[in-house]
Amino acid sequence: MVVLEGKDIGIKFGKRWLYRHVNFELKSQHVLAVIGDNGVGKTTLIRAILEQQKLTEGALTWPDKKPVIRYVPQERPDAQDFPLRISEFVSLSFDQGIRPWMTRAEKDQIQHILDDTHLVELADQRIDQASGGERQRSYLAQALLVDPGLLILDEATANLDNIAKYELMDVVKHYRDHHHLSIIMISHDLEIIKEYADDYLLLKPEGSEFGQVKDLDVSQLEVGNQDHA
Amino acid sequence: MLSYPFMQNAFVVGTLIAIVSGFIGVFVVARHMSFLAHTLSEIGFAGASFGLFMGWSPLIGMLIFTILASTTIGELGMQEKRSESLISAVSAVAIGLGIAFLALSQKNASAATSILFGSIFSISHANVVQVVVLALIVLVVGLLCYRPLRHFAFDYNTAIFSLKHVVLIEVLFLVLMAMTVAISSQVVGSLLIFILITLPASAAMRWGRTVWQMVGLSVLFGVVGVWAALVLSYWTNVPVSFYIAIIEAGIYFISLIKRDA
Repeated sequence: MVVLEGKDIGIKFGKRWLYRHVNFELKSQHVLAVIGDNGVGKTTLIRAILEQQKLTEGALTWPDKKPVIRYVPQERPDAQDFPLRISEFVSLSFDQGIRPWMTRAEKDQIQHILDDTHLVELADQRIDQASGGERQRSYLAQALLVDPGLLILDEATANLDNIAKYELMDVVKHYRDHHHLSIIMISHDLEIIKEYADDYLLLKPEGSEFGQVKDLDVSQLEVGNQDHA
Repeated sequence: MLSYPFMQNAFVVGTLIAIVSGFIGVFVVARHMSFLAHTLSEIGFAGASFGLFMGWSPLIGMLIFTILASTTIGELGMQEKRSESLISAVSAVAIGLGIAFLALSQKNASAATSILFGSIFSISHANVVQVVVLALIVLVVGLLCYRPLRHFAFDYNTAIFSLKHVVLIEVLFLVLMAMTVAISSQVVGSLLIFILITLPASAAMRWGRTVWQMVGLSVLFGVVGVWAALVLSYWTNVPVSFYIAIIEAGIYFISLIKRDA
């Protein structure tokens, strides 16, 4: 089943086309990796999916009902500013309704998601003093709290060490396997992409490429020992 | 002391304002808008003197000016990164206007000092009713919108994607903030507004670990400060604003000394 389909997408900034004729689809419970050089417009495409950016041409369609989308942005300045508990930070996602307090059911949901993201023991720790990996898992927990159908990760593993990034992606994978969740991730990390993504969308100004990760020709991305993903 | 009607009025109004400012203050500080709150108080000064000039209650003039200004600045400043310079420019115009209206209204200097530094002991009964009604409106609306406001203030980067009516929340927040500034200035005056909005909240945010804890502490600091200041001012005949300023700043400095354990 296809969750999201992008047909012949083109985005133009001023007179410059970022890209044209981008085609891709996101299958249910798949992980789609969006890759490409810095500045090629990966985040712009994400913003289009979030309806914060207009497409110049083409269309994004949701063949089924449009799912609840949660986006985990790369920059989170607020999380370093306040000494909120991790559990409280995660619960910020409960932002609908007029009840100023949490219900029993909501508290259970928070507990459940802390469990899924291995944060139970850290629940009372301060978010601004958590390590990079713990903080990323908190962002993830906050996003997953409302049980979204589509999760968008923007370079979630970028600043993590080797252990923390696999731990984070294992949590994502495990959650995906047990819920109706499809994932789009922007990443520069080829190891992570090969290990966790099902499909890829390589954005290039001269034309994009969509396919299964197992068919991804890595050599074109590793020019001179440098990852160009 | 409490048998005097003016003291009763002062306690009622002071307590309510401390609660409202403490509550809204947490969101203002979290959303990094202390500076805008301060500018709003200068705009409030212009509004209050406009009110005097027109022969209205200064509170009405203040409300009109702060609400108009907060929504416009909000809309301009949110999109642009140049908000600081923008706010300075607006605040310059506001103070200029305030001085002009004050001169035109031909009131004596005491009208000016009561706008700038507060006049809680000379607050009229009609004024008490206005403040009480406005404060209750801000509190009730703030409580009903607690959830969206909390996400909006404490994690703006995801709130803009997660909240369905983020622009509405933004405008609502700015209006609540403007109303808080307008009513708080009844106690501490428009020059010292941040004493009640920013300082208790900033101190509370160093101790609180949940948003409710922060709100609770902030309200507590505000109320304790106002009560103590009213009593001290009654005994010593030194303005209330002075004591509130000293007490709230003191609490804030103590919160700074506290180590980040």
